[in-house]
Amino acid sequence: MKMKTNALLTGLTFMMTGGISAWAAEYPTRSINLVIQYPAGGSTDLTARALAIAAKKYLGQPVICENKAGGGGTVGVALVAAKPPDGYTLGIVTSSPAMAFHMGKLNFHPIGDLTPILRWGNYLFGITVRSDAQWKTLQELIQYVKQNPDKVSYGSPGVGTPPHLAMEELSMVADIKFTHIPSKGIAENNTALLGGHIDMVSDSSGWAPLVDAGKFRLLATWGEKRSDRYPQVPTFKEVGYDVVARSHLGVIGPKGIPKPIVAKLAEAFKKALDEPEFLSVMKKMDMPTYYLDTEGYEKYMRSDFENIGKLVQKLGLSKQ
Amino acid sequence: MELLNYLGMGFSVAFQPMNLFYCFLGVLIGTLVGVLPGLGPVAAMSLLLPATFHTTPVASIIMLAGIYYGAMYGGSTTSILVNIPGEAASVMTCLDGYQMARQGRAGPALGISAFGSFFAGTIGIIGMLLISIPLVNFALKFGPPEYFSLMILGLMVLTFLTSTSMVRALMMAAFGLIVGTMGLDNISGLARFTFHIPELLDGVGLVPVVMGLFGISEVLLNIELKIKREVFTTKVKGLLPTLDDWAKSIGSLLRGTVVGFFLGILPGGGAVIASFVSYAIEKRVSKHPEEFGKGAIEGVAAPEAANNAAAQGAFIPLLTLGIPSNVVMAMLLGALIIHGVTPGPLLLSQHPDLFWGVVASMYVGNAMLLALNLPLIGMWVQLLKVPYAILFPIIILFCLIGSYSINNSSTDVLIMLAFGVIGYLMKKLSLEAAPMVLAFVLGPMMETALRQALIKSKGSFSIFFTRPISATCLIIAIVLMIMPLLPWFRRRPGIVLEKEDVA
Amino acid sequence: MKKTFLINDLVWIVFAALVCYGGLKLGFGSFHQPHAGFMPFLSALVLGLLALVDLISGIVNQWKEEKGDKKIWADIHWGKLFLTLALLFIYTVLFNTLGFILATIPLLFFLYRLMEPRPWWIVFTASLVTTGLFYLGFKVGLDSQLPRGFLGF
Repeated sequence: MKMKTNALLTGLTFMMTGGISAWAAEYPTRSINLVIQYPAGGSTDLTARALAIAAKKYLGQPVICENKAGGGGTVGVALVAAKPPDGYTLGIVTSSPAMAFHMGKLNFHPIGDLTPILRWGNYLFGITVRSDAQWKTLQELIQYVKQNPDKVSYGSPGVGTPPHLAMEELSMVADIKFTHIPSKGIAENNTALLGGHIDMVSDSSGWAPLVDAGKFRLLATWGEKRSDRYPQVPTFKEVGYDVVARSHLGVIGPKGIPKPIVAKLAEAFKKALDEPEFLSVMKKMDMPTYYLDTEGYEKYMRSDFENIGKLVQKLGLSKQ
Repeated sequence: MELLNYLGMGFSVAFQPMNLFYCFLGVLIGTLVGVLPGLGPVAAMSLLLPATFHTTPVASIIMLAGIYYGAMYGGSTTSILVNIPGEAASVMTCLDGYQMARQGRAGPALGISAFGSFFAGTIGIIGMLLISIPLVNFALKFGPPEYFSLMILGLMVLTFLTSTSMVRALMMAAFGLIVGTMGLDNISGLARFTFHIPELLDGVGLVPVVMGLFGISEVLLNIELKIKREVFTTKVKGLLPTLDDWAKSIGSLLRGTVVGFFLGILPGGGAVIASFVSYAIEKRVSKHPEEFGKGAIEGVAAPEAANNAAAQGAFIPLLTLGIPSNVVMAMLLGALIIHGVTPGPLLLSQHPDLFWGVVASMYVGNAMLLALNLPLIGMWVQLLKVPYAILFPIIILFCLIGSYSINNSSTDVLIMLAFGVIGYLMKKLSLEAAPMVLAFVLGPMMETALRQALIKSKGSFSIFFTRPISATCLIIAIVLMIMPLLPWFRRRPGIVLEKEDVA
Repeated sequence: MKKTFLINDLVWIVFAALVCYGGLKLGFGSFHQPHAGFMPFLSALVLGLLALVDLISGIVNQWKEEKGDKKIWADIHWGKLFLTLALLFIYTVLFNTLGFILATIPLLFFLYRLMEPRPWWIVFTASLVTTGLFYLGFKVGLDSQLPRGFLGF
């Protein structure tokens, strides 16, 4: 009896594998949707679109991008997580969902409920003020905020995003208080800063064109070292505040995408990382590429998840 | 004048054969996209963006821009013919445009819509040349409190001038706000009223709602009758607007253009608010306001001029500051960056050929659209001669497939059907759909603006009144709200407001 | 008594109450830090109050300005209406299983006959032609994704 059951199960497994392989072998048979979790025109959007266009070459089908912004980059990911894992809906992810999860604002698990595909990038985060603002250096700004708590407002791309948490960490380390006005992305933040509705912006490099044009002043960057494009701007570390904002940037799908399809996608996107058009957009945004394959990315996401948990707890932002 | 030199350069760029070709391609695709439901200009631009890589940045922006304002032209066509707005900015055109079509005057409606759009586009371009910079700086002064107050004013204006009681119109607006909250909340990330249906996580789509409220409900109304009634008059009265039509419309076109242009520059607001406000203004200044809603040509001319002027105005923040004022502009921003051009304050000095070339080609594009759309009027009018019994299944199928194809989701179709029933009941009960749609579109933006303003002011509502622009908007809104209520206690509700002597 | 409008206002009041409850469950927050339920609650409150106002003023004035119940609901062919709705609903539900072509042909068949009876073969041909044209236009022309049914087309 056991033999028969075994045989049956083996047969079924072969059939399923065969079926899935057949499905995977044909994949993709139609265009793929890529959900970008920040508004169009920002750093995530532009580089992701460039990646999508480059990947089309290797996938044979167009990768159509759509923007679903909000929740500090969690709305888009939540939408992707709810879609069927057939490989036709993918999303872009950063560290934000993990941060939101530890803050009790996410109702799915940012690793368990997703299928990582690969990591492709790193951000450049920084803070900017208007060029006619009274603060010419970071020290001047911090000095002012110390004496005027809660008076300086800053925009961020959302609650639980790396630039937001970095500001929270800074506030803790320097013992100062800002007023945080979250928005959906860099375009809104830029507009608000230009119009004087907020005093500064903590966000990724979408402020670059306005800095170059002389409308904004880049006070400091949040990386380990200085940015290549703005070598004269110090990092927070250098000025004495040991805060680094980091976020991974990768492609994911809903949980349960069959392994052959994941492999195909990972390979296509990996090749896309070498495309000159993609690289030129990344360079424009001053964002370095950073490749991790599927397994490596999942491992990284897990360790990043742990670190973020500790950070959120340290900042006193975890859900009670 | 220096300006003329630049314009000359722009035209020489715009008339290069390749740019002309891409302009034509763009406006053609745009018109198609506008006429067909479901596919919007953003999706079309997304699909065609990669195709532009093999050309110059100028050509690709010309084409993508053409898709955008071409879609505005196309969206009006379905509004007039079958009461289905191609997009939110065309909703107001349905009100009088469709009624005109039913009276056999689809030709003049389509005609004034095409001419009006061209007129607005032309003036809009002149506006762009002359007053871009000061206007943009003014627009930047609009922060969260100003946006909130402006949107409240917009809602008030519209409800004030509908033909049913103001209470009913405000009820519909409140309903629209509620429907607008469905989905994932932007700031907190919580799911609101989604009943665990994953497709609702993104909220209810505009297209299914509008197609249901306007299109399906209209069809239901027409088939319910026991007695056969001809929906469209078989006698077609002319293909183009008459001199009389022109005389009536010229003022509306001017006012609509001005309103549209200014509102188009405001990031986020744009064409939708412009079309609603211009309609309301027309009704207010008209000497025979009771005709609005029954086929007044001014009710078509003004919103059409407004939404095209707004489309032109929306380019200004992008081209002068590199700030996108709506999703379409954001896509153009992306396209420019991918092409290696960085939009921003330096665009004008670094790439004058791009700037002036695009501006000039908009004029060319508008002219092409006029040439494209006018001959088609004859064809559209013939279409309406088909007996309704045969026409309505096609309309229904159009709506079904259109709403399905947005997201390949049957849920969208079900939403459309649900709103079809709601719209049908609303029409029976003289509850107006327009305030509901406007509130639905503005609601999420209003909410974000409100919450951001309150965070900034730390919970104090005084922020709305201490800032001058915001205070002005709110005061006007409050005045509008109080005015009809005062005589209300003496009069009965349901009074058609235009009969009241509102100062 | 004009029941239609009375029922209408009552329905809105109940709806508003439900949304208010939902909003409170989501969390109202405070005026300083509005939470997710802030907007729904306030909008529903406004809706409910307005409906109440409408109701009371209607009762007081006996809805003199409105059309009578009979006029609104007169001459309605309920059968046609419900049949159409049912057809559309069934079509949507079966759309993915049957595929575009198989589902649309019967739908059109019924709809074409709805308003005026016609010989069935004319209607059938019309359904085929219409379906074909839509298929060409949307699938081939626009590359929309129209579902294939279990039969593969």
